[in-house]
Amino acid sequence: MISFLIALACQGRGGPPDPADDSPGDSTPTDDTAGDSAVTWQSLPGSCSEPAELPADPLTLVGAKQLTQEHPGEFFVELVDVELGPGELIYGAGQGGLVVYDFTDVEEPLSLGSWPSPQSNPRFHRVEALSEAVVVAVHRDQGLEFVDVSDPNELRLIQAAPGQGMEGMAAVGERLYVSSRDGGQLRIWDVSSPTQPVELGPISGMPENTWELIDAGDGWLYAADQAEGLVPISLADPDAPSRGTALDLGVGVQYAAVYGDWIYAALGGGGVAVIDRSDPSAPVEVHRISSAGSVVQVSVGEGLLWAADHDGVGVWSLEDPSSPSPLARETSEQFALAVAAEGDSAWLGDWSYLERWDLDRSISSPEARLDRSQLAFETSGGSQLVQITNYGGDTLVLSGATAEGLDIEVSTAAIEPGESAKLRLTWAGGERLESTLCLATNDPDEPLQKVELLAGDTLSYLGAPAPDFTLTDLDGDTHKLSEQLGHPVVLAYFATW
Amino acid sequence: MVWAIASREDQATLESFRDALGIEMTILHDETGQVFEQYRLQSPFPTGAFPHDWVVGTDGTFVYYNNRFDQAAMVAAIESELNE
Repeated sequence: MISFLIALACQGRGGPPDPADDSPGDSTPTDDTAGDSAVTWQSLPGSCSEPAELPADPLTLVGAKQLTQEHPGEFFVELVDVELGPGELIYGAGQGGLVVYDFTDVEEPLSLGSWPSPQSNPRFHRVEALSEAVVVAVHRDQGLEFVDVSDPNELRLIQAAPGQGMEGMAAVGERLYVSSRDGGQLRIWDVSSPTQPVELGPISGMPENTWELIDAGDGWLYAADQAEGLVPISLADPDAPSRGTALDLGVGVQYAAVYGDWIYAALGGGGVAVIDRSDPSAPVEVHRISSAGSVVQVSVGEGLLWAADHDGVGVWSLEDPSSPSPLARETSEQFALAVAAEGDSAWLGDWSYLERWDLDRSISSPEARLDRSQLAFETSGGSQLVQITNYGGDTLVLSGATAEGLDIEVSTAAIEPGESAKLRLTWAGGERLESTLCLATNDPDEPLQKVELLAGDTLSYLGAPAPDFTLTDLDGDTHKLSEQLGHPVVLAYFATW
Repeated sequence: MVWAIASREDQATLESFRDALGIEMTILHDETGQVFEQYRLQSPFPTGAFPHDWVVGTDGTFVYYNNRFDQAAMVAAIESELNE
């Protein structure tokens, strides 16, 4: 329910996302098809039925723990960050606070102790483990808190440090670095004794819109910044970090993960940037990959790149780190915002669920995604395009398609991993159209892919005047629809549940 | 101009929702649900479920509606209005 709203919000933040495709030259599907003279259109069998045999799914959900308002302590956690703890413990941070999960029994995971975040603005944004006994959680406008987790059933506050706009954190050796939007400062703590953190002098001149700090493990930190992109920060002097030139990726960077000489940067709707850091002070983008949703967190495990992208979780092989190849993806239950990799598994923060996903590398399957759910035609008829992308590790085969009253053609019936195909739908025109495109594929989760096709009086609302209204926003200011005459207005009705 | 409209929610829940997700767009509060109801009845699929996405054109009439988030279609409708 909330996914579209976030997608709109993220579109505002990160710039217009491309259609899910590696070739930026492709035009928006709703344009006329004149630009596609290079495509050799072919037809498919005129039937839409599930193939007799479907591949197995390599990526499976093996366990999930949901927190609801019935949770003892009575808060509701919307997970925004996830961090691996010792053994089978996982830390989750989000609205309501910090929770310790125990996944010893993967099918019946438990939630242990919790630490509530301040009442007035209840949300931790990031959690970082300093040692087996201490984690630190940062709260955007209330500062950060060092929490004793040595007894996972009973969390205790060690120390709180106030501050504004603190968000990204990286624990590196005996230091904790925290980015602050308040004047672009980097705040530093001496955590050589994690239960007695001591704040040192902050450094200014740092990026001012940093979502996360990533430790490369070799004396370099990288700031994932909304405005500047990816910013290298040298820790040659751990108490006096110095920043370098930002790598501008055209959109904001929300998160990143380091894999040796490579960095994978989460770009929201822009996908994931593949960055060469063989010169750590001068990272260079070499490739960009797309994901089905808006990539907000990434994590690397053993030769695997994982991404949480609102829609769900995706995983790529890093056998060739310069060119990650898709292996699998799945749509998650709610809204995926966080991911932490461990071996062939990943922990996914999926709104009120913490989930564990396992990858079976011996299985390969396709994963289909259409770029639209609905297509509107003029009553005069014409052609429209729909794009389908394969986010899986095996060939996606289109075995048939039906759409009553329309002609269907495809650019190819076999789509390789990471590639897309176009479908061209042509309608002769008429008074109305209320049909569905059914596309038969070998996608194991949803072999029959659908698009609603509309025209005429099913679109009777078109041209009708939008009812005027005056409503108040959350800050108490009023907004009247008729005052917006002259420019288009998007009205997105949503619910927080 | 993008307005997100929440109906029959409470102010505190909306504020935490906004802060939780870092939403910067305008969120309007349709406290009684009346505005939502007026719009719902205009839609071709008058379901009470969310989302309902409308685009109002430059002349104040509807140019787009969907009951599923479809970014490509919505952007196409907006661009078409801006290019007229």
